[in-house]
Amino acid sequence: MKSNQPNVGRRKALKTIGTAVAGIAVGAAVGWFAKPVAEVYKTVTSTATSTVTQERTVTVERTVTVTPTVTQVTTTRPSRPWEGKWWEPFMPRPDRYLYPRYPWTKDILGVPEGEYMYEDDWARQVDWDKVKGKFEGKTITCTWEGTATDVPEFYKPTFEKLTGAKINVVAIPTELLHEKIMADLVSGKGEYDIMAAYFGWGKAYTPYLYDLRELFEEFGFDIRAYHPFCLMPNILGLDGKLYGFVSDADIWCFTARMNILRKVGIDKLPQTWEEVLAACEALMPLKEKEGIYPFVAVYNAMGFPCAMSFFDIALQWEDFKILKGDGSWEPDFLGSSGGGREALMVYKKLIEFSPPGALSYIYADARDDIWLPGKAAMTVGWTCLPHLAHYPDISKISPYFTDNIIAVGRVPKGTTQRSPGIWPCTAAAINKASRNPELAFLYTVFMLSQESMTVLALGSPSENHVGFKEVLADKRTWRLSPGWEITWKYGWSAAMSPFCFLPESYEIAEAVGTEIHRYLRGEITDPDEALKNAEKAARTILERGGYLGPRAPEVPPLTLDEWCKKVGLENPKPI
Amino acid sequence: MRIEYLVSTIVLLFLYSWLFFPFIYSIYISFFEYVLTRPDVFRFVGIKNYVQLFNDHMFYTSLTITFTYAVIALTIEFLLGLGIALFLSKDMYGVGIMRIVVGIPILLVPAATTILWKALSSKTYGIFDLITSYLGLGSLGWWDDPVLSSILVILVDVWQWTPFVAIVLLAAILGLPKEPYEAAKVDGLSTYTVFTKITLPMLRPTIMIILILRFLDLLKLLEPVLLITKGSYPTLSMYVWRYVFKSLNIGFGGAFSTIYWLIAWILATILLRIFLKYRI
Amino acid sequence: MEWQKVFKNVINSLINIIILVWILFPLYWLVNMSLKSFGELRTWPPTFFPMQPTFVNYIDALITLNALPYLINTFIVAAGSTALALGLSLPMAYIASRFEFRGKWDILFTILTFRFLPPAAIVIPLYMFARTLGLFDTHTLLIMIYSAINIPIGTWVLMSYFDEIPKEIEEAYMLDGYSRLKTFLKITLPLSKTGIIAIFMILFALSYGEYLLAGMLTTSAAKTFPVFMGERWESPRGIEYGLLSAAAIIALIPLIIIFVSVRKHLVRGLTFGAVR
Repeated sequence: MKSNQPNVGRRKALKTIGTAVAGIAVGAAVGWFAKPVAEVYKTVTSTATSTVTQERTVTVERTVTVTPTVTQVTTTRPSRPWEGKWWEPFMPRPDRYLYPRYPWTKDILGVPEGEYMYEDDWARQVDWDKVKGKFEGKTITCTWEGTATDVPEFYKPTFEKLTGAKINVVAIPTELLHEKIMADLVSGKGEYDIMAAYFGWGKAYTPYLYDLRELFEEFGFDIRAYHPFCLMPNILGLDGKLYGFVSDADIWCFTARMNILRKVGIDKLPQTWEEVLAACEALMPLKEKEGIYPFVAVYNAMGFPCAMSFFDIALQWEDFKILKGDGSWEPDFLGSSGGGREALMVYKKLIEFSPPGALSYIYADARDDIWLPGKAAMTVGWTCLPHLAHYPDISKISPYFTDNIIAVGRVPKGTTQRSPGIWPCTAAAINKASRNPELAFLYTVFMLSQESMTVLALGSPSENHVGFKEVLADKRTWRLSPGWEITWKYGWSAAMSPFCFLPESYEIAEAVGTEIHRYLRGEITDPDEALKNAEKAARTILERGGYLGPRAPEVPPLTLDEWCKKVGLENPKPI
Repeated sequence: MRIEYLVSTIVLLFLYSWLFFPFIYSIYISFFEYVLTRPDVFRFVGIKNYVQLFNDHMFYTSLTITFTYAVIALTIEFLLGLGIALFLSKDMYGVGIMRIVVGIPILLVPAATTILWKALSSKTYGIFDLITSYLGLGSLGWWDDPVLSSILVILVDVWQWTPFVAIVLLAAILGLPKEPYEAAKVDGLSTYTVFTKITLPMLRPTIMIILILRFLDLLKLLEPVLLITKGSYPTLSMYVWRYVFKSLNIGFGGAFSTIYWLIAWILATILLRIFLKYRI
Repeated sequence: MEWQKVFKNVINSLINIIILVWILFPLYWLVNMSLKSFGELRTWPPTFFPMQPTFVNYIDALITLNALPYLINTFIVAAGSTALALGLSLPMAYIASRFEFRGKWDILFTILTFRFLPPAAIVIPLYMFARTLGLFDTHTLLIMIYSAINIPIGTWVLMSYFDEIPKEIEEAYMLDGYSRLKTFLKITLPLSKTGIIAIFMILFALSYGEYLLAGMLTTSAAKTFPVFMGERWESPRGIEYGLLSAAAIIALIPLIIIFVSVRKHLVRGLTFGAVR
């Protein structure tokens, strides 16, 4: 031991350096031969670098073949194609799925037993005879976020009986969702056929996804049935390809518990952020007495969550457009007349009115800890917040659907009343390397067509919003899910975040959120400084992706109206 | 071949064959720009990833936070663990059961421990709020306040891993030869002298090893920070999680891994030198 | 000095109680939460014992959600990796303790370096590695990776335990004609039983509970219990504290059983009187 010691230092250092150099040399050689798996995909189309002036979205004239029924129907209503067919008992219907689970929905929806809600439901137009012959015995894997596996599981038994195929549902933990799906897509092994895709992570998936246009054509489904607010950032690529199905088309809304607000003399839903903050002030005494917080901001953790919340609030200011608005990708988070700054200050005040610990909320814990047990009076966030508050087995807020307790409205106004900025909703996509793309398509459509999605959304707490125009306009559903009314009435005025077209969307949001969070928790006291830092962070990533250089792609339209005009879709304006 | 080289070769071969690829790939890829979200872009950029790493203030923040947590948690775990090990090495009533009970926290899945402490510190499911109201402090923000969230994170780690230190030290103490103690009894030495002059020196090798191992593990602290505080005050692993894992920026991740490895190497070498000096 | 002895007993008992509370209270809270139904968990203030205790969480975890295959997977992986890690660490530790040879400390240090990198940093290259080898989502992969990560602990700690056993004992036996291997197996190992058991439990627990690598490197066939719990963290109706607590207790019980059955080896003084 002692004899070794004097030389140990030098020898060890030399040895390590030598090993390191050798290692790097060996590693470089090894790495040269073991090229990254993704290099195989040289045929990747980079979505963001293609210009927006592309072909129009493919819409197909839907031909519905109405085959006359075999038996003479003596009722006065016209015969439907699916009556008398062997597969009709498998079709989703409210009395088959919804009423048994939540019996009180029957009276509210008013759909009699044995009746369907939507005539044009896609699933019923499919020739299931042909399908059964073709796909008997095949298996597909459907992956979904672990928290919401009840979505693919909902119709799985029915579909398996209907087609004779087998569906293998694999759950992935939320923390690993994006990475695992991305890793599987890049590796090209086609392990997952259907995947829950949050395109809010950016269009990183799109090079590996099946272009669904041909399948939509083959089965005669018209994407114009969707409300455009969920199409644009979600499933329609800038290159005109169709990447997914809308599954949960969430939108942000403002929810208040009117019974609490009435205690301090407020009778109507606050319409502007000033009114909201005034209401919070008025509610402060209640905090001491009953332990109810005036507000709970639900999505504020450092990174993506607080960036998203900030954008959704800030887009209510007319001059805040996220980008400079001069046709370049230069970010401008201050807004031409300080809208961004005001919004950030409003956001900070909301956090101050929220319970301690709010700065690390990522929605699930806020919803669980504070909102559903009934500890907050107002909140802004996804439509599940008011929706779940009505379920007596889940929340302590209202015994189901009693009037005058929960009021839902648009996100409060800043200087403009826009619908919140649309960050994309949940979608389901099909892997390009899938071995059974048609079968995967059929199951996804079976899960997510008009009737199926409505029954699913009303009967399952996890996916609880739809994207179909017909469903959103259907007043019967508004009573059960107020968020749908908000979406239908105001979704047409949505403002877009241009970043969600880019693969780097998540990264940008994370970087922006890191800087904004420092202001929210008091590390930086000047909102301008925080916003400038956020701009800088976003710029770094944009620069790296080549969006600020000479060959940058065109900036997509920043409002839903403009986008619809560009792509040739109709933007439904109910009012 | 002589037995010692044979065994060493087998062990090293095994380790290298399974863990060498990620390591060497990290170094290789650190000189390239490769982000999985844009896999068509793969170009050599030299040390740009390293420059980005060293320019990122979050890196230094997470470095500081990691070291602070590591030092504090290690001190607490060591002192508590040593104390418990010494205490349980005696033959007293019920010591068998105590030795089992003390070992239970490490048997809990770390994800479960984190959920448990998250529940305990939450406003609806846990009693932290009850305790602090009773003490007159009201409801506190355990998940986002800088000091409180640090306390919580360290508490979770201490609760779960002090038994690790305790059990390793306990086994070591139980394996000590009896002779010196009997001689000490005959000589009538005080408990304190017995402890410092006999127990401690004989335990030094184990103590040093457990300190090094625990320190290296603390540098990798992730679960409590990720699941409870969501990374407002990130440790190095949280930094990797956010900037590499979530952004799928593999090149940057390679740079981080290389630098991290170097830091760990330096620290381990220093600790090992001290260890070698003290080994009997 | 009768009262001095009583005083010492009292202090001992007090310390015992403090340790018990410190360790058992959180576990008790876990059991408490696991016996509460979903609705009762949401009532505030939280109670120390459910007003309507129910086993629904346990039934959900085991039967409805079918946690058993994942638990079995976890066992296979933990047992396999611990066996492999011990199998390689024991000889290495013994040699490191008893022999001196050139490069010994370099080799030992190199072994230690395999525990440097955090899983979060190496998980993506490991994924690529696993895919290339075709070992994705297999038990073998996890067993190998976990052994590799745990061997450093095994080697170093066992080395220090072997150091404690005086060389004279072995030399005495070897003079009597035992071979080195026989001495190792028949004399050294039994004498260091305590340490080996301790390390066995620790390595088992480490492999049992690992989350990140298991999460990324498996998908359904070899998925382990912590990953399964990670998926079920939230359900559509909220965070499932009750379900997860029940699952955690279910995972804990087999380990406690193993632990209890080997506790009789955690005794002292095995070298007492062994030297002539």
